[in-house]
Amino acid sequence: MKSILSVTVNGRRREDAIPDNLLLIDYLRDGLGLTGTKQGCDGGECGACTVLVDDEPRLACSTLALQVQGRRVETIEGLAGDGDLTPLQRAFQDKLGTECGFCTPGMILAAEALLRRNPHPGREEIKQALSGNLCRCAGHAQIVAAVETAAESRKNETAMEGAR
Amino acid sequence: MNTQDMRIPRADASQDKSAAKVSGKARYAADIPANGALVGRILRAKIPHARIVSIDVSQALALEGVAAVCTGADCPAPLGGAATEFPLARDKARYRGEAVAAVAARDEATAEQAIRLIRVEYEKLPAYFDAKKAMGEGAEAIHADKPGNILREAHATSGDVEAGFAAAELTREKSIKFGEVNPAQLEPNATLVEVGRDGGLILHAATQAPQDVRACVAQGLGMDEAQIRVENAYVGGGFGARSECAPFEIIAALLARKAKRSVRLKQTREETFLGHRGRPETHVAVKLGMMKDGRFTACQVQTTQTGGAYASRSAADGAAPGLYALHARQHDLLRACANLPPCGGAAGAAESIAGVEALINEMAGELGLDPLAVRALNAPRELADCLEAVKQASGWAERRGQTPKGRGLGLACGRLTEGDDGGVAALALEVSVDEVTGKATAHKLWIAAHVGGALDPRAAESRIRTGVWMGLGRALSEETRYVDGKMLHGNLLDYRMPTLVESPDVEVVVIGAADAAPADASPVDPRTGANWAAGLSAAVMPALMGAVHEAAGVWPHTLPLSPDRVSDLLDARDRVKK
Amino acid sequence: MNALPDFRLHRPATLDEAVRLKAQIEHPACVAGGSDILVNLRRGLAKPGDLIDLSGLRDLDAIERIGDELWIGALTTLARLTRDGAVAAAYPALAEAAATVAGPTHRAAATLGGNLCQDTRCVYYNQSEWWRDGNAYCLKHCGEKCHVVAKSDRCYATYHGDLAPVLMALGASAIVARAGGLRRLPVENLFREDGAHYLTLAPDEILAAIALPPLNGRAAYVKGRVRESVDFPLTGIAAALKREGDVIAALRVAITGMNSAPLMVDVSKLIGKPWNDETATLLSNALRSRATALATTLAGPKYRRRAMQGLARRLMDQVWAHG
Ligand SMILES: Cc1cc2nc3c(=O)[nH]c(=O)nc-3n(C[C@H](O)[C@H](O)[C@H](O)COP(=O)(O)OP(=O)(O)OC[C@H]3O[C@@H](n4cnc5c(N)ncnc54)[C@H](O)[C@@H]3O)c2cc1C
Ligand code: FES
Ligand code: FES
Repeated sequence: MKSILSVTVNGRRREDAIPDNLLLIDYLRDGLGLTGTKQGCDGGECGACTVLVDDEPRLACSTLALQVQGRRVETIEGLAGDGDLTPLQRAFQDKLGTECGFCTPGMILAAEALLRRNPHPGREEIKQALSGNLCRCAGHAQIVAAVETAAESRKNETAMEGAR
Repeated sequence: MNTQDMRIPRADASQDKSAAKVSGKARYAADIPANGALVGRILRAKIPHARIVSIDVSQALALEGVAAVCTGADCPAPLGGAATEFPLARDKARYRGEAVAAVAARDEATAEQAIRLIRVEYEKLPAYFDAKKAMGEGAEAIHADKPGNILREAHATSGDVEAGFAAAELTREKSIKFGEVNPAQLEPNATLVEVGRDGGLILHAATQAPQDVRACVAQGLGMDEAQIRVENAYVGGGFGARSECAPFEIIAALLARKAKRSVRLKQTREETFLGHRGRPETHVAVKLGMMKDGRFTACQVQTTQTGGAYASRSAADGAAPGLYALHARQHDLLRACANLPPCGGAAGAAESIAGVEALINEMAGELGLDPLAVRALNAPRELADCLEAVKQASGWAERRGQTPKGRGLGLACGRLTEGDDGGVAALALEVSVDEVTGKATAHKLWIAAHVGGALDPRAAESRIRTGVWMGLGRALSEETRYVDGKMLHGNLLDYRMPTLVESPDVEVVVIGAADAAPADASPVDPRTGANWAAGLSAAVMPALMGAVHEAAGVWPHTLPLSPDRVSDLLDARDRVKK
Repeated sequence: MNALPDFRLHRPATLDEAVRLKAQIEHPACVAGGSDILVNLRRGLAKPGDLIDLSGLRDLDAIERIGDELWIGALTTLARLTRDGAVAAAYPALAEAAATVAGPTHRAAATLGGNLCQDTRCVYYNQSEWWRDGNAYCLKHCGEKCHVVAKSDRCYATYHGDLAPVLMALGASAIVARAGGLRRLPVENLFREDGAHYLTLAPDEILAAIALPPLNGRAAYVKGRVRESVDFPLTGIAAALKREGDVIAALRVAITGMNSAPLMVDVSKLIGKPWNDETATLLSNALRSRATALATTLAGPKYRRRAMQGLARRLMDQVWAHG
């Protein structure tokens, strides 16, 4: 069975005829070539496949592609648009929050969702919000530091915009 | 050293790499585009020990969309020249999950269906899942050339051990069991093999050992190395799982050559667990002689590993280097093979050190000595520096014995790598124990490491954090579990890798890092290619045991100290009290 | 890898439509947040020909006051339960329990209905097709033997949902929709103590909402697990207590993670007495006779029973102190 999926992916509206049983992760990776979304487990256990759906984090490996019908999906590739890196991505880079990097896209998107909801999270909130994203190489302190740094730079940016 | 606010410009290459990782552009083996590549799947043995009588692939081959089927008959060369491990089992299957056949088909569904059409006739053999039974009298040999199922034995003695014990004022013994642990790198195994016009093969592999993969694939396929190229994809962690060619790389190449088309072989998390090459279950029996002032006189360690059916080829040798200036020492290592998934080559050096460290804590306690002072008394210069640094950083003198009820402070030392080279470390750990749930929680860890030479201190710190983190997982919750050789833990829910909320605050002091180019935050030491996880786990585990003792008055003897284990210890304690 | 079976997906927009579909189709399965069923389908634990996606039912995600009850739509996400003002104000125990379910990203998708109706679990069941095939499957799925209780004629897979015990302690009702309309039943009656057939819902029924009566007293939930995130409860206990001076005027206790269903515990012997060592022993006995933890999890049953007892005591101390 195939159905039509209308969805916005990284800011672009798309329509695709896809099988009913297609998982969101396979639609993104195999269908759209967005391989930044990783598969780290056999379903639901690791968080590596985290993407954003209408600003909320979502496990692409345990979501049907057709369940995001009409919604807005963002993957790691879309975060910065065509530009450079976002402050959050840069913070992960600067603070050594990425080692082997396999958990990184999911981790960054979970952090992005947190910061959109709560621009100034405390350390415990950060740990909680990222606790479903397993990292084996675990620059855990570095990951938390990266999110804190990004929150800080967002604060500064907002302050600067306010001053303008 | 606090690196939170340091901003060292990093080398361009590593900058590019980390930019690729944070932007999602980094391509790992499963990410390399391959239009029209066939899908590979592996058929795995469902019995733990059996002679393979026959394999009938005719139905699978006849299925439309199947391009190639391979069995052990396609690859007579043992894996990397190892004696008895083949990429695809030949005469025997030796663990539940061993690759027996493989198919390449136009899509996943067809490949799955083809796998189910392969008929394997087995003759069941007795199977063994622990060292004792495997080495027991009359046990069936798992490998014809390994009678008694002893995979490896090593004995090393220095100084006069007997005299050392005779001179001791206190001699104690302790046995500890360390659970089997897996690398559990986050990226599941995957390979893409492309076939060149000239028949040469291009492998995109999740490996940290491209040369070895190239050599082994060439050997396995009877090809010239010049015909094989290994492209280095990004690698999502290794921790011992990817330091040499694994069977699946060769299987993928066999399939591609036979099908004359590109083949992508992705493995599930479960399969990745099956091929783990992690650390085997290890029993350590330690005997230590001490003077009343804490000086060591002799040390004896007996290490018994329940290895898997196979071991990595790069086996470390048996002599576990000690940490202290102690002449009289004896170490005996026995590695049995059992009908379990293949383990790594580690010779149990980390577990041996952990065992000794645990006993030092107990004996210091018995003698009323400060475990840090006891170590300082016996430590060579570099380790003594680490102890002093940890003492300062943790406020050891003020904290020790002063932790509130239900909390405890533990201490231990370890090496960064398992060999003689590569630095030493000391760490202190504050832990609480919940008497109701038996849960041990790590709250704060202080570690000082002498990294010994040219290393970017920031990258070194990062690597120390990785090592400590893996050590904590192993100490608190990670272990594999089998029933009759059936893996029960083959997912990231049951294999309990800690989450970020379990991550304690870690303070790192790096000593002795000399000038080096700023480096990537890679989990491996660029000098040796080794990660520091095993070495540091040797310190984290006994430190946790010591802290749990101070918090709850029990001396653990089995790791990990998961809540059920701690509960058992608490119950035993309370039974004695009554 | 672990591809989903072939099915036709239906995406009804209203409850009526969903109920009609459920009645029309033979053996349909439902998906809401997908965090339980899609994981299971990927492991081959069912092969439905039709899957009804409930996540588009706009009429089922409201949280509203109806009379003196709070109605929570079955499609309400757990993330919302943890943040909703009305829930936090009236039933903090429910918000807290929701915050302990799985990880934060699961909770963003996971729904109340899916949490209640989630499948039972067992180490011999939550495994790959290859694994189960090599173990001759099991009573719950495709096989003839229960590997946990060898000679049993029913499946002992365990129910591990976190929210059911809290709702049961709170005296909540389930509002169930079917072709003829709605019916109402106590949440505990949604479940049956049989691992393979753990729900009492008829094939054409959908859980529409949960109705919570006013809480007169204090409620709390406690969960035992190895990791403080992601992990299912190895044991979970919920209690709702009405304290009058120095006696227990009313008490409801429910457990999860122990049996094939979340269960109410008979605490009638404690009523009218103060909470002390004597009543603690009564509670302990009541728990012991109700909970049957078996070897369905990697942490052994002995541990789960011990943790249940200790945590129940701690929980009662807490609600008693604040009651
Ligand atoms: C790694 C991991 C950890 C987890 N940890 C926990 C945990 O700690 N505690 C816990 O409780 N759960 C846990 N879960 C299970 C699951 O995530 C939650 O139970 C979640 O709430 C399920 O909700 P859902 O909407 O995603 O359900 P779905 O997967 O969509 O559905 C689950 C089942 O309920 C049925 N269903 C859903 N809605 C309705 C309805 N309205 N009427 C009738 N039937 C319905 C479906 O048909 C399906 O059979 C975990 C899952 C994973 C993968
Ligand atoms: S891939 Fe592991 S949770 Fe989705
Ligand atoms: S950086 Fe390797 S898993 Fe997180």
